[in-house]
Amino acid sequence: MYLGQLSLSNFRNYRRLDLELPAGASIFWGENAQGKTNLLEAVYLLATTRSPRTTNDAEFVRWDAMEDGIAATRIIGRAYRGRVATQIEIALMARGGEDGQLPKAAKRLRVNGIPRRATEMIGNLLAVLFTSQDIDLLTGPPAGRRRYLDLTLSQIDHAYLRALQRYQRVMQQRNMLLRRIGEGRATPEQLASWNEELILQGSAITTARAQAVTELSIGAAQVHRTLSDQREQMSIRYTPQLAEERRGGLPESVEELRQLYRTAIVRRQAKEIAAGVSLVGPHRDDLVFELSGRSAGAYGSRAQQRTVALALRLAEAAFLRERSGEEPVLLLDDILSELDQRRRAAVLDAVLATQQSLITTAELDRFTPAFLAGAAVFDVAAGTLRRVTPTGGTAAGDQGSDAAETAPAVSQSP
Amino acid sequence: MAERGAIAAAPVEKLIDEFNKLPGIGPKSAQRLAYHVLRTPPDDARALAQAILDVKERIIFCSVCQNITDEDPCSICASTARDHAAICVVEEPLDILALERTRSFKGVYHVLHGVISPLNGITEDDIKVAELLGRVRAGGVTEVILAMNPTLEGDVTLMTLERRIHRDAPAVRVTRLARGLSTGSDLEYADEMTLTRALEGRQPV
Ligand SMILES: [Zn+2]
Repeated sequence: MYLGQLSLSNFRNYRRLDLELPAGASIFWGENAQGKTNLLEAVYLLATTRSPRTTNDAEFVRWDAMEDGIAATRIIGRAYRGRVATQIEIALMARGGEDGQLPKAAKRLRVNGIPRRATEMIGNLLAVLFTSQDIDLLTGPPAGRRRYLDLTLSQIDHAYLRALQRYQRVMQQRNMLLRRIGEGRATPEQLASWNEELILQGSAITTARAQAVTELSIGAAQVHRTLSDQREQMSIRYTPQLAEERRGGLPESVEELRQLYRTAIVRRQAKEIAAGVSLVGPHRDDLVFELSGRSAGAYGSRAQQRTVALALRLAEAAFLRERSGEEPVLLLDDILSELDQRRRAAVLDAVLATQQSLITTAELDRFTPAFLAGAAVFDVAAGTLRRVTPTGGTAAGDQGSDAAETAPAVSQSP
Repeated sequence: MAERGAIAAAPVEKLIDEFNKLPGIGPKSAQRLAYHVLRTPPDDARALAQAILDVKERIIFCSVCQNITDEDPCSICASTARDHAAICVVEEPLDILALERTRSFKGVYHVLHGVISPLNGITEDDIKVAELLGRVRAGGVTEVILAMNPTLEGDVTLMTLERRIHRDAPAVRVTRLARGLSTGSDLEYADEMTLTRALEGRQPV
């Protein structure tokens, strides 16, 4: 699977970009804050409909496109599965933003020009994003790890995404009902149907997460052995809130799992009403990344954490490949400069093994001449792109008149 | 808004504001409608005003099924040709029109006028649940078909009704429409074949 074309309008620092992307490795080369990361973010958005960086869609809107209080941001990609192309599109209409408030954005999704829901769009492009902040997955709060699981699983499991969306809606409704009960405007009896929905969707989410973490853990351990000196064994452990309810971890059958949720909810009903929020469910789950049984986030050195995070991303790529039968697009956001020789080689091996990789860097000398010779190199400056020759030097001749010949793959209006 | 105030006379201004309150009518459309009314003959304008008043003054809720009607009980509830032992429960009056178009349901209806949604401030006490339970407890009902829209709120309303009916009248058969309707779609917009199949294939809850 690969992304053949990417078009952006009014997305972050891009006014307009039409980019042809080849299969294989593409390198986006430029100084910081020129728009390299924004490109990868756009691709990740096409794959997941969600940003790795923000939950506020209005942030995508190019800031000076907001002048008249309304702006349209568009990301269009053409994903190729073999010879079959699918056009996927995210459009954002942003409004308002006066009085120092952030604008509100409405997101519209289309597949081959037809309006679709997220569940129908996701899966047309698979992507794994490597960033230098991946270490936060280990050291940061649990919400980041749940988000990681959700974004990864949603790409290949539509039933999971549907359960997740429904669960989020159940949470909103149920939390409001809990508050009303606390204020004496509803009765605890009215919780029953919402509880059933919570148990149904919650069990589906927990089951899928447990299975995915088992697969990711096996894959990550394998990768980790090649990345490290093999003195430590990496593992990923799923620690659902529900496991606290029962000795010996999660039950095997879904029916038992539901019963466990039911018991936990009944037991905490008074607390939930007092708190006015749902206290039981997969929204309280967590993951632990371990090295030889010890939490890498809590006890690992920075270097160890970095290696674990890298092993996780490489395992994620293998996981998506296993589950879907498709090669995911690898998005490497300036991660090579911080890696030593051996880990960099492992990443570049993965790049060569997959169908397409999009790599950002500030320094071309991080790559071997052989790697550069096989890659497409784009120069990124202030939201404009120019394809340069594969060897890394800029094209000969004056840019103005040669642009059409040296950069046939890129066109943009100022 | 400000510029309009300067050019429109107060009654026109008022009419524009009233049109603007209607669903799907923005300020521009409201202006167009108001100036259209301004140009129409007095009889036409009076007919429009009377029709609006009639809806509010002559249309009432049927005391049996809660559907909107101009006579109580409504024509369906009063009909001896209908099977009064089977009640089909719907969210809104428009759902009845959709089901009636199929001509495949011979029973009677019950309109809830909404679904349970705490976010919208609606609990089971805010929709016509008590009235339904009253009908079921009164006897003579053998089947209740729950024809909610396949949304989260529709499903939760369905589960709640099922539990209540089972507690109040355990002998009554409770069914739901077959899953022919795709999740998130509205009964109101379902085509007749789909609805007919959903009715025929109804399943115990
Ligand atoms: Zn009636």
